[in-house]
Amino acid sequence: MHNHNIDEVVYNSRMLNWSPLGKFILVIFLLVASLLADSLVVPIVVFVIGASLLFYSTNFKIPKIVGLALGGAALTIFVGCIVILFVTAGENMLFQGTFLGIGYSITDGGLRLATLVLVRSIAGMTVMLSFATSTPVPYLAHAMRQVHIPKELSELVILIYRYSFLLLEELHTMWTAASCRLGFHGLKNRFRTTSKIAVGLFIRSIDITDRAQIALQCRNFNGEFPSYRLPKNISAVWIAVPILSFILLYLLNICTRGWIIIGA
Amino acid sequence: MDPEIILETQNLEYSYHNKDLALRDVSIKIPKGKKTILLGANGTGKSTLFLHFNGVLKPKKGKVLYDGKELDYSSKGLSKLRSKIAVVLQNPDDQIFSTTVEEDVAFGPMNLGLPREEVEKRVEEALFLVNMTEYRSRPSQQLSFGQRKRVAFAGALAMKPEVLIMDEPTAGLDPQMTHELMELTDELVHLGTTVIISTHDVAMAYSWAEELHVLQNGRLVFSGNSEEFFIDPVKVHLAGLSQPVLFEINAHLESLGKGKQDPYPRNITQFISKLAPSGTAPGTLHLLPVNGTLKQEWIDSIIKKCSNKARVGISGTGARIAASVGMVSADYVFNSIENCLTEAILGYDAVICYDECLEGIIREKISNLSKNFGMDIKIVKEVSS
Repeated sequence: MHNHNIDEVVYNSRMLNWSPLGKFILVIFLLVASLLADSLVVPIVVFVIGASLLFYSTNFKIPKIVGLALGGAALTIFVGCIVILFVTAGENMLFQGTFLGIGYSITDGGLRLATLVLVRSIAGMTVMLSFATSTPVPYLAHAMRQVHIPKELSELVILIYRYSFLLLEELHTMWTAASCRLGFHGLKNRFRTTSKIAVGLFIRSIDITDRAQIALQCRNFNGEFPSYRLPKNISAVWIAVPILSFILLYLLNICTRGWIIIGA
Repeated sequence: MDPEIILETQNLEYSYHNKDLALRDVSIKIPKGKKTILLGANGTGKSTLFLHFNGVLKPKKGKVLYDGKELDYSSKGLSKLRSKIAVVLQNPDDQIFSTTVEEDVAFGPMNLGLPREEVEKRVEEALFLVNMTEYRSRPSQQLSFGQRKRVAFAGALAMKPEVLIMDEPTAGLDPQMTHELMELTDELVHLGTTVIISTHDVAMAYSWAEELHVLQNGRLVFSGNSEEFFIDPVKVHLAGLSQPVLFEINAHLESLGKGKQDPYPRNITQFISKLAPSGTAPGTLHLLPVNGTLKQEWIDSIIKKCSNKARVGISGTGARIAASVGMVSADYVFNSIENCLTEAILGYDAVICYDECLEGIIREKISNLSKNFGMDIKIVKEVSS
């Protein structure tokens, strides 16, 4: 059942009944505001908003899977920022040295860009996770339909979502079965078994497709998944809040320009 | 008079991807409103035949008729056909697409373009019948196999079909769920639905079927009543099947000089009736219809009137829910009709609390015992108060 953690989080979210399209617009506006700002204060504020929404959505309990996603992404971003730090040119040299015979240097421009990218990315991640932990995929598909994204795409999203769980279950069963037959005994075996499971899973997915097609026909599927329980529709508030947030963040960017100076 | 035929195939042939024929010259007639079993070993073409019934597969040769008319394979024609013929696939995961239980049950009715109120009503009823009302908002991937099977079944019920086709419906189910499902199908047949079940479970086929069709290597090798098929062990063996245990025991008893095979008992109750001295059963069956509420004191007051410690059985989803809400203690919560009848034959009184719509089935079973096995059961209809 560990595969279902994120789904459980979503269906238990306190933001579940908020308009999915409204949340989606808010997230986009916050992300754009954070990306456009050259002041560090704006992404920090966006991070605070994102983190608050995330904590509220998950009822102050960050599930392991969300924690892992956050940690993994943060690590990747951090490594990326280190690279940016060393490769970006700047006006003033802050540090210079050699390591294992390779020369390296840190400039003010590199430090500034790396910090900005780091703060923006983490802020963006928290905002997006607050959306992901509160919006079931069918609601997302519904929001996609509302903004007139082709129905084929939204139907695909639903089907992929549904069948991903079945494939995860298959994967889990195959993994257990392989373990029972010493499939992971030794490194060589481990690699061989993992690749066999991957191939097996691919073949199963084709089989599932065939059977799903029959089942869809049996149930009178006409190319569109009807929504039985519709999520809340977007209201004027959901238009006003993102626009207002964007304007406030824009003004904040102007007012706080130069407040935090890195590498001066 | 010949029964009305609802589904029929004439010289049907089908093969997958130009391989060997999966169905060879199959001509089958499915009577309306009957309990029909399609029996066969694995890979004999049962599912392939099913998929012809609702137009998912188109015959390579021969034709399929519904209500006397050849199937119309246009998208409009198929849509109309599938609103009348519902299929429950063997693996519930194959047919559950939606993310929550109620969304999935509503999938079929919404595809039919029914008004919202009608969809709501059908979802409500179907979930109640399979006892899944409290799970209606649950994501489908969080359900157990048995619960998913119930949801798949509810999805078919919500279509209110004229014909319900079920592929191996009891595969992977525990005994309680199996009995609940068969009880529900009995109820549907009683209300006029034609139910067709594909299975290789000979015991279930023997006890349940009114009409049996046997497939062997894609050919229809038998159509008729169960006894006529199972009496020939060679035919049964060639079809990759075995005789039901009850059928074998009954046959062995004849070999031991303990009476004749006929009448053939299809379940334990009938078997006990056959062995017991004919006449009126020593026990009495008290019928207590349940209409939403059931209280222990009502049952206690009936038990008080009985000469011995009466057994209590609950039959039907509504009665089971009412019993659970009313914290009623029962001896039998599934297969209760048969169990209570057996108790009456064995000399105990029994109280059966049942959904009102099941009364016809109970009386039918009692009348069948009297007619075929010479066993009369005294019944007393009680009032819920």
